[in-house]
Amino acid sequence: MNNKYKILWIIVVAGMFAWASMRRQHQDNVKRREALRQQEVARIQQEEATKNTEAAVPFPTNQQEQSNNPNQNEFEQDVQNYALSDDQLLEKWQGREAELIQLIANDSREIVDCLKNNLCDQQPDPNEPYFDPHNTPKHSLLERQLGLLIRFREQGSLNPGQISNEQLEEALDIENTNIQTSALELRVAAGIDDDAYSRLLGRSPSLLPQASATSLALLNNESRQSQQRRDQLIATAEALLRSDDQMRAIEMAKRIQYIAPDRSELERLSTSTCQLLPQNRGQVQHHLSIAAEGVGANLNFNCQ
Amino acid sequence: MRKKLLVSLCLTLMCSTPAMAQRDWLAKQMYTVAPYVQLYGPVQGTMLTNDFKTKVFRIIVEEGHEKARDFLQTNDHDAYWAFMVAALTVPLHEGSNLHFRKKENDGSNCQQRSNSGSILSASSRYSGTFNRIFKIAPSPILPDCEEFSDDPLVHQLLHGHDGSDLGIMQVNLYWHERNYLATGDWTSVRKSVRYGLALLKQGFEGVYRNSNRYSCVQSNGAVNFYNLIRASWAGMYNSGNLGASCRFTNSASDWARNDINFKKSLDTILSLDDADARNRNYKLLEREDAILSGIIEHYKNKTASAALMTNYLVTTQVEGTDKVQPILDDSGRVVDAPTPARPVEPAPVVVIPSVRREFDPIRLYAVKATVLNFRDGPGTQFTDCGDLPKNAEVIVKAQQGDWMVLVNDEMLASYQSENHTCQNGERFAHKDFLIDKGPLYDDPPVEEPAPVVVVVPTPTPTPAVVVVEPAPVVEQRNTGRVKDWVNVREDRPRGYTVAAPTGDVVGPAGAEIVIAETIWNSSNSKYPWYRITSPVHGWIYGQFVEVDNQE
Repeated sequence: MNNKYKILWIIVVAGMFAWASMRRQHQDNVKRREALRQQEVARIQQEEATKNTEAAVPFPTNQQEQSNNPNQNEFEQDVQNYALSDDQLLEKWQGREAELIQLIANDSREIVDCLKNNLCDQQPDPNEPYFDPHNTPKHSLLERQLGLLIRFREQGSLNPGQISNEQLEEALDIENTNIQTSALELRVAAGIDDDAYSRLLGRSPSLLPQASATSLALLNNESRQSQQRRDQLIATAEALLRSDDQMRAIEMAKRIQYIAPDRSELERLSTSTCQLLPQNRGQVQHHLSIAAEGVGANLNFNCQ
Repeated sequence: MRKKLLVSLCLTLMCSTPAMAQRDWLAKQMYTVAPYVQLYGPVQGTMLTNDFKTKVFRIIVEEGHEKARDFLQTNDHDAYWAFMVAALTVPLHEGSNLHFRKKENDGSNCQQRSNSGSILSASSRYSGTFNRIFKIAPSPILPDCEEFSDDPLVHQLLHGHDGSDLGIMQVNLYWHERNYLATGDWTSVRKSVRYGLALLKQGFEGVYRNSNRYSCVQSNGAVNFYNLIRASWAGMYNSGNLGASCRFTNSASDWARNDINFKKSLDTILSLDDADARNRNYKLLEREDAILSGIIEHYKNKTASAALMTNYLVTTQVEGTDKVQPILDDSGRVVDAPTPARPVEPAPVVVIPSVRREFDPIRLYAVKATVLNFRDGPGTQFTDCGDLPKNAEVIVKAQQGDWMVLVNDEMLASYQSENHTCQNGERFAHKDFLIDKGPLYDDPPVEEPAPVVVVVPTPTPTPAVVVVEPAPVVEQRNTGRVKDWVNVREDRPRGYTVAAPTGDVVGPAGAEIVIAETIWNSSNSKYPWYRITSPVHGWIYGQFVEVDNQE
């Protein structure tokens, strides 16, 4: 290679290195400034939040007493430490279930509130494309807390009413499938009267697709108490099959077996499939047809 | 899920000149894992390159098929092949199909910047997760590099350029701490692929099911599958947001470069129906080479059959795709021979629609539905022959996809309706409404396993049948009893997140269950999860189960 070209080549490479390092330095500075700014914003918001909490505590709790409680601090750390499995955590805290349930109840209420208010201050990182506002680390924490409550309930340690129904129904506002599903499971287990039954069914079409279908599965037993309740449930299933968000129709159809429809109910539901997109119609009709096998029916989807 | 990795660039550079090939550019993108951590391979560097690539390919197509097989229930082959192509593209794009590697420890392979976590300093939110998962004293998963000074070999895990994303699917530390990192799924190539593909499927299905809302995937009233694959990645996988699925159509987007790079990876995959391209970019052993080529051809030709995959997955096995590596001897050194450990990673359960499995001996089943149709073929499109009442017992000789093949004896004939005109031959009933009561005889009359018969998907009542060599298809059937009322869930847990309840409960204490599958979702779990087939179908947690006996 000609010497001139070699020198030119070296200059170009050196220039590129210099440019790259300057750019990197510049980016680092931008990042550093942004991080400092975010820290400052977070500090101010935290101060504001503290003031607000002090101004209007929604539920009477003794903040001072809680923060001085070593169990609470340790337990909170354990709940946030996912390296500790649920089994290990429950074993570690065996015998103090009532205390833990209360701590989770308080914590989860706060997380629901802050997620609803401002996503608990969680913000996208401008340097990263990924930000799932429905599945943040705070959502994960709430998911775990609700999961632990379910474990307590399955073990017989959680009594109905220990977590308020209002609190569980508020958790349904969080747009996260696992949170909605867990909250529904706990809510239904706490007992359902006619009002609650209607209210929960009424909320089904606005839940996320899988949770909306699961809500019907969970209310299936309750629906058997009267024909009116059953009609309401089947009407809701129809609404899900006709939903604009066709993921709801798919998720409902996948779970149709869990609401155990009889022959006439299936025939009624089968009329709700014709407006679906072609790729969804076949899938939904498939699941309805399989459910029909178990009641000796043959569905005729007349979509011509 | 993450940014584009620089691995491809590094690999290109490594091969560009002999001198450069001497340097291990990839070392800077590797965490070095403590030898006492059990890893589930395949591990690059422990076998020939083509063997390694073939094993990774096998895992990808098994997991991809598992995710996509619900499209086959309704003969939606276009979506099936598109998802298989997407499943092949993402691990290649994200991690160049690499998760673990084994290297000689020459003193420079372990990068202290990586193992100390200082690589993450620019993004402080990662350091908390990093320390909680990887730096737990006294046995950290990623010890400081000086701890490896006496080790002749090291095992390494791929990370992204800033340390924030892990492995073959480049799963992000911050966003996936609970269900990917804490469960230990990162220690397994298979579980990593499974985890990433689950997220990809969310994006794929989210757009596909509502294709009328996403203009970028619409094409003359049909779905543009090429763009659907791009949308699946740009949306949920790379942005965490379905709403960003059509991001790739905006050339001014902040992340346009990501989308262009993904398109290149997709185009690379789609070029692999050409033998030269496979030779250059995706070299596999002969059998898998043909399968790879077939997948691309089927996607392009919109082939209305998945027989290529069902035949391959059912009739062949690739040894070592679920093995545990590395293994330690008593002195804590890495050895190559596998030893069992708990929890053992389960063998992949690949459920293939339309595969027929003969039962030997034949089995007794009871009807659990109020009334159950039985038909002259395996599908609701076949003629309804009559109704079986609840608790009626039938003899089952095989399973074909989701349908049980009934012995057409006098008892069954007595339930046949005179009004229905059925073809002569076998009778079928759907598996969801039958309860397994066990083998009809205690001992199998024949010692040799019966041949597995693979049936090409059956759109018509007269399917083509291909008889192939026997394959060891074993389904567990244990019985057990519940200790109390137990909630039934619709699926296995995903990480630590339990699946939704079905609304069914099993009980009271002492009620018998039939267990078809057992899985451990984490090495920190105290009990396994059981898939039960009686008295209802679903999953229950082992804490509430006492297993009786193994058949």
